Amino acid sequence: MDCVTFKEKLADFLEGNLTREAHEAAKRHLSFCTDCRREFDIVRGHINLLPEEEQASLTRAILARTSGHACERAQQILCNYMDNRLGDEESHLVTLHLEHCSNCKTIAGTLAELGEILPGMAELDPGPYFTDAVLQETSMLARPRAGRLKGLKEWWTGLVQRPRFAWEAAYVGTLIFVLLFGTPVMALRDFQSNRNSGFQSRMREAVTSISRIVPETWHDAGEKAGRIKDDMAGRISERQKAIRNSVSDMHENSDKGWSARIKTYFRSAGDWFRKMLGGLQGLWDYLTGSDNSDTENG
Amino acid sequence: MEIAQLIERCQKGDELAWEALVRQYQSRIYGLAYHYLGNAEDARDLAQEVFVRLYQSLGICTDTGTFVPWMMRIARNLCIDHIRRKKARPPAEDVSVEERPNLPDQSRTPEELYAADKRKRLIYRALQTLTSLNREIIILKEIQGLSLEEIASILSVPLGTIKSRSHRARLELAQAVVALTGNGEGAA
Repeated sequence: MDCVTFKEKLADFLEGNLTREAHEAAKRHLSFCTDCRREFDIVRGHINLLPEEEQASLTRAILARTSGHACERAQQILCNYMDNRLGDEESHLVTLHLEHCSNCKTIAGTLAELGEILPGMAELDPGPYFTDAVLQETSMLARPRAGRLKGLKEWWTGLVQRPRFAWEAAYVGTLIFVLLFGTPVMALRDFQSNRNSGFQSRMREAVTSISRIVPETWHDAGEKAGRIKDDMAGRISERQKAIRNSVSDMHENSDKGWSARIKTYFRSAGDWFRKMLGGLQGLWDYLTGSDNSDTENG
Repeated sequence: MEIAQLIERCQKGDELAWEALVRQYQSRIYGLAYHYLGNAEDARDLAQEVFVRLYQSLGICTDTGTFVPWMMRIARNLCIDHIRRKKARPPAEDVSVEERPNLPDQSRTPEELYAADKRKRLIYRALQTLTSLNREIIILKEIQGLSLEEIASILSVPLGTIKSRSHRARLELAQAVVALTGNGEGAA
């Protein structure tokens, strides 16, 4: 095979489309022809005729005439690339771009540097007098107070945990009960009932007047409210009556048995007092030894 | 001591706890104010004001988990108010050195603050070239380390906007740093 034939069949030789005889002949030719071997290496990409700078400029020229520069696209995803948030394929493409684009490579390097430096800029020394100045400013202010809800909670907890709280609660409860229902021995009991009846009549008048004012749709509601109110008032007065009766029964019973109870109480108190005196006498005798000496002497 | 315990003690009026809280966060608040205002003296005054506000409002801080973003919000709002006031009212004429009271001289320039690290000084200057929103995002996210949700809440901007802007802001800052370095300022 001569050089002209080899060059004609070079493409088929590279793609493996030659017959076995032709393939062997091409290999034999390559073994001794240096010119054809160089051309073969150039076609295979083993020898690059362009220097690196020219390769880069050629790439830029081709991109400028086709898709445009890829730097903008690369920089759009550069932060994600630096944060390792890209998929393998995109990450590989950016890596390839950075290998050949010095500008983007510098920016990527700066981004990495910023990631290390910026957090260290969060704190700056305000100087040696700063803390004292702040404390002096705030010492003149009122103490910080907890929020309303928190304050209310703390107040309630403190109130409940006080030792006298049970007594106070009982006192307040009794007071409320007396104010609501009165007491059987109340001097103004009649006045209270008169006042209740006055209140009831005033309520009835108010409901009647409201029913005159409000539209008819509300009229029934007013009447119902009046009935409910009357019913409630009746129940309350019945309850009051029952309480008064029971309390007056208690008073009558207690009046009858009062003298007997006092006698029993004083009798038991007298017995207890006598026992205590006897005990004290025995103790005194034991301590002074008078009883023993009397016995011994006797 | 945990921040929750510290705040609880402060709410009960413990002066020691308050001092510890001030010491713990003063550098951070001062750093934030400095990055917003760009002036050491203003930043110090404002940081003091932030702590006074914090002291007055500690009672309403019920969720200690969000204390730092809450504190940052107060600081940021005061910084923005300060910048607006300064824009509306030009600074008064400087008092001459002779008329100044005998106070310790605490004023420091950015150069002095970042004297130890020229690169930080360059980054600070690059930060000033960004738009106000991008600068705030860098300050709050990259420098102060707040989450995107917290930044969206502080700036009252939709979360999506913050997400899309955060990458853009980082990239712009990197480009500005590269540009300043290219101009020979990095070596200054």
